[in-house]
Amino acid sequence: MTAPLLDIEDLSVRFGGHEAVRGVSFSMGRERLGIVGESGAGKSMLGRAIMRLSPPGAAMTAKRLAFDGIDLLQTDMRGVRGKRIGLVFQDPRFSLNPAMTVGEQIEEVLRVHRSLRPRAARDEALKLIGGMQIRDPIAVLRRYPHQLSGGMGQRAMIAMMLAPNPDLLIADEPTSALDASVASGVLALLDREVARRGMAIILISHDLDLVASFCDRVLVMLAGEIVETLAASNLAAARHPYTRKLLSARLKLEA
Amino acid sequence: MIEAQAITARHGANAVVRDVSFAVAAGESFGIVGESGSGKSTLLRVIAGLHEHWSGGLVIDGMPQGRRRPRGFGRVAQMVFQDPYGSLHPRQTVDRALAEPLIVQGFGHDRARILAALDAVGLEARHRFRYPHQLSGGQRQRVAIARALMLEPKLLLLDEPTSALDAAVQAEIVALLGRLRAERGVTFILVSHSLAVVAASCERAAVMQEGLFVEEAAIADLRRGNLRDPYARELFAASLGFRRG
Amino acid sequence: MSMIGAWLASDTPSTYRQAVAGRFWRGTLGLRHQPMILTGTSIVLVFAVIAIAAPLIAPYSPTAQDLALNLRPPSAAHWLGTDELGRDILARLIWGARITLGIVALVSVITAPIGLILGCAAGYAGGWIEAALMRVTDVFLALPRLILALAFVAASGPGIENAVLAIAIVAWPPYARVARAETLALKHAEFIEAARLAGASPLRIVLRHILPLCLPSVIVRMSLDMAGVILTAAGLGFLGLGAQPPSPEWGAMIASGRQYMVDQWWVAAMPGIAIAAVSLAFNLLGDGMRDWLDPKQK
Repeated sequence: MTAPLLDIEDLSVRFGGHEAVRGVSFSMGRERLGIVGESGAGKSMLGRAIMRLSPPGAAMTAKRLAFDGIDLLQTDMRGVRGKRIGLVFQDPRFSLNPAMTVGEQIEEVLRVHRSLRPRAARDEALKLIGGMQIRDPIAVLRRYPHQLSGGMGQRAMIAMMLAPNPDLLIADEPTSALDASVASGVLALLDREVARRGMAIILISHDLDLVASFCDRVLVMLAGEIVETLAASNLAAARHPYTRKLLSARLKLEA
Repeated sequence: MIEAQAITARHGANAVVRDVSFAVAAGESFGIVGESGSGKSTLLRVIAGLHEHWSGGLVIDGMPQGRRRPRGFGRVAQMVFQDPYGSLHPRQTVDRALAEPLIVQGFGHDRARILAALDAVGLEARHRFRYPHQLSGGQRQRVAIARALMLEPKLLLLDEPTSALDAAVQAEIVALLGRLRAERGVTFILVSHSLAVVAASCERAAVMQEGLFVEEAAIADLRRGNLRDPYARELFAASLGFRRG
Repeated sequence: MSMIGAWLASDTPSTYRQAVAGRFWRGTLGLRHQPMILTGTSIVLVFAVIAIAAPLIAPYSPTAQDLALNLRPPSAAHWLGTDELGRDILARLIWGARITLGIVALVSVITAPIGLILGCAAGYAGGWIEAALMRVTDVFLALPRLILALAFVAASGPGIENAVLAIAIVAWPPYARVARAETLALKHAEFIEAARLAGASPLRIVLRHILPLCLPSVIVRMSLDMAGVILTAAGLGFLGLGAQPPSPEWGAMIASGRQYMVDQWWVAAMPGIAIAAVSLAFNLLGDGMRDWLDPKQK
């Protein structure tokens, strides 16, 4: 068995007087892992803790936090964050720099992480955004984040995160702010890119159906702890009462 | 219960609701599905009397409605808002929030009615003197529903009542609304971006796009995707959830 | 004690009183971590106690003259020295605290409610009512405070009552501005729309729903302004337009002491220090309150 891509043991985050993440352990290979839980369950805090991005005032502890053999507790995160692990947030309009065009931001990533020259970076940025199923890629590159629709912004964000060819993408509620018809397009795009690049993805969502259909394996979080790990194909095997509650609470469109 | 004739509503120069007509019978539950910017919330606010820039004909409970609503309108129609964090006054206890409609309509601060309302929405007497920040999102939404029912309105306008809630809580609120409707025979107009929520709570629904009703269908047809309009079908397909390629 | 503590800290209050007391209690506990508020409040409280207890603690009468003992430096008999008429400066400062704090209290009682109500009404009403009210506040804001107060006192005659009125007239517009800004942000909140749907009248919505939420910003603004009020009052006193002799107003004391500045510095310096201390205390209080109450700062 090869070493796992991400290996976490006993990770905790204390924030605002309580433990937002409590002794979480899991490891993953180049697979699709889903983390599901309701708001406040600590799933977003966990996603950020992997990147060593915790809000001010939060204290993170872990016995082990290793990515591809690198001890993230010791290393300088700049070589990893954004380069080997990408992070996609819920609302791109808040996570992109409002003062730079989309093109400038993607080019900057390419220059910093892949040491491309300006001309090459511009060509590569166009190629990346062109792969995002956008009608007029050049126009999108010239726009500022506030000039983009939600779906377009999320595509730009994904393009930017994919620019350095990361090994792992953490997507935190990437489609919750989008309308259903737009969300399905963004998910299809993510799905295709993950398959094509053979990278790993952690999909964080409150939507059990979404996580189960997108991922191979699902971690269920409740009050900062992982209460159950399930194969996505076998949700019916869930034993934990909370997971069972989530399963029964699903509103199904089809009768 | 409600008859809308050629309603057009504007935000500035933009017509966000265009020439919409529909009728809802007393006791019926009517859903309006649409994505952001489709004008569905504005339409609901026109009915509630919270949006003034509109034209067309609107008859609610046999009374033609103008731009300003009479004070007694509160006893005819009430609204439940999307954001349970924004729809309760942050400095007022649950008791104050529930007493307000009674006091305003001249019923006085009726303790028994407040306790009964709490009970009806599945809250306990101990929640009565809490402030909103001491309640969970689901509990707040229950308070908001209780407040809307204080004056025993005939028509309840629901603006995305579950969208801000977690999946498990969402199902509880949908169940609560269903039970209240069965018990009291209130007419519902429910606006949502989610076909699943509308399918779970309504008997008939309209699909709205860019200010227009593009399709009106019975829920059975909606569930089967038995729809004519291409956009409505697209929405249905997207609502089935993500399928791995 | 622990029972009262538990009653106050209860997350499930059973009466309205308990809910309000509990919220107040949690707020007070939060104050422990606010050194600026604590320092400011302590200094203000010390001055307030001094003002109230003036007849008991003042070593001499503030107006008793002893020309044989004029312009004496601080000594065991006169801790802060005596002024040009041989009056004890400490006694005058102690009695003067009454005047200064009295002016502050009166001005706040007059200005804050006026500004608050006008601002909320303007913000909620919108349209021409808002435009008219806000242009009036702009006119007041456009003129320098002290000049406007001076003009008012000059027209209505010097004296402490007119000084209070003058300061009040120039001090309310900022509260109206703050209250209007808050109201505009709150006007379309869903809980306000819910109140409208219940049938609440605009007056009821403004007074019972919007006004309480504007209070924190106005209180913050008020505590920040109090230093300015004290300085304006002292300025009027200094120019001879506020409190009249022999009343021991601090600004007037500086004015009469200024001719002896070089040789008998304490005559002007002692009231100066008092003014600085109280202004500083109110400023600390205001800054602390802003950090504590203003959610936008967090």
